[in-house]
Amino acid sequence: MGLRTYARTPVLLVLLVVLPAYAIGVFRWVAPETAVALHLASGETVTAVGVTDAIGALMVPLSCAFVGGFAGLFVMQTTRNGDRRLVLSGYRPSQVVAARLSLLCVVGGMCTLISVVTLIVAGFTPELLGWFALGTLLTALVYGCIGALLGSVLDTLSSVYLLLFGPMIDLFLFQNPLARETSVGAGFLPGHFPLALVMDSAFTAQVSGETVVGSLAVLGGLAAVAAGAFYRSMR
Amino acid sequence: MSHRHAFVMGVRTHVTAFVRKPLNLLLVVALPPVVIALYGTAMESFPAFSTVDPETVGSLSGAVFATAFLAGVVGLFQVISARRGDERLALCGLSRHTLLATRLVVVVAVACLAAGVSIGMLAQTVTIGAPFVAAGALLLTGVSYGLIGMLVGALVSRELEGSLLLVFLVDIDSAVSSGLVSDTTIEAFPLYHPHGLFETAVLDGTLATDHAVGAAGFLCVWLILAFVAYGWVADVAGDGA
Repeated sequence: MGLRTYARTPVLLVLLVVLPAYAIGVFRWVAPETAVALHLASGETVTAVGVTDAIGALMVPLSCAFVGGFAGLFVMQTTRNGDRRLVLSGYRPSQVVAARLSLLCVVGGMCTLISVVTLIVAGFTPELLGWFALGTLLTALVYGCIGALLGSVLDTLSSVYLLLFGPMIDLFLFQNPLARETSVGAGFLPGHFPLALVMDSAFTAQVSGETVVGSLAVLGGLAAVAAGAFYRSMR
Repeated sequence: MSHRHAFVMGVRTHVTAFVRKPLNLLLVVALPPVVIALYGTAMESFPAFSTVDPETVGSLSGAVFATAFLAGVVGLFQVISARRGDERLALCGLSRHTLLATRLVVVVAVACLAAGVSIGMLAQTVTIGAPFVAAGALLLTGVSYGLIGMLVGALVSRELEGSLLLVFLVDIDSAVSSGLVSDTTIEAFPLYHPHGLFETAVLDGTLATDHAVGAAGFLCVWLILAFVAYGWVADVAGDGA
């Protein structure tokens, strides 16, 4: 049902394809060719990486975080009344919540696919493509849950404010491996583990189990809270 | 009802609608300082891409980004969420241009507020060479993105699509205009000239005439496009009614 609603709005589908491709393409196009050192969250330093590749790889999860966050927010806000009616007509609240969370997974998956393909077409292939895609998907889902949570407690304008600044500050500034040292607060932000997974898999030949487990734990926690808020709004 | 009366009534209605939710107002006041501080702190440990200290680059970029985005989102929601209400007001006899002008006043007010708060916050950490020019540059930034938000809102009728479009526009624009890249193509981005004008005013204490002319030119273009798009959308809606 949710997918049918999305399919009925071709402008949205076009934007979901074009915007991540635009973001990744523009950055790879205008970023300087300079080589820099990347300071990964695992403590490893990778030398002589092109800024183009570093920023390109960073833009993939960032784009998906924006798309996931807004999908979560508007799924929560636009479907609330309809979902209440579904519950009144006999659906179990858990079924409706599961359907909405599945919709977020589909949007996140679609955005991940488009972004990763764009990055490869633009000339950069991550070292561990599968882990890179998983890290990107997890970033999209983490921010999808944050969007859904914001949508259940705030109005649209306030949520949009926070969803714009949130991923930009978390992923682009605090988790950015171009920075020589990680800020103290970076480890407490929701994008820490997923982005570490993305950058490790983009530039090294191994990923640490800690980043995978950490990402899944953050996602699990946020999904539980978002599902709880969603469930409560339908009763 | 006279045009003047209609205009004043429209502005009062839109301002009341905005401030009725105190959180909106609180975020406009609270987000710029937070963003400026976080940008400065985070950029501190970035490699220097120019001769300017990365922390200062971060604070300046944070000020431009916060002002542009806050005004842009208000511009977007002023048009999208008000579409139906405006259609009814137009049927009651208010001209389309009066309605758009009332929306614009709210956007300019939010831009003024965000620019003022940003300059105040920036002055705590950076010595501003020419404070009035810097404030004017930030105001120009806010109004430009407010108009871009209104343009997006006129062309894309739903909040999800409009928010997505605006978020990608302002993020990419803010990042490429911040001095990270030096490609000549970035001069076509809307924030390039306002950012250059602001940076020169803060760091050198001068008015960069080329950036001032560029920023004013872009502002005129956004103003014309916003009026044309809003009028076109209103005509289509009117025909459908």
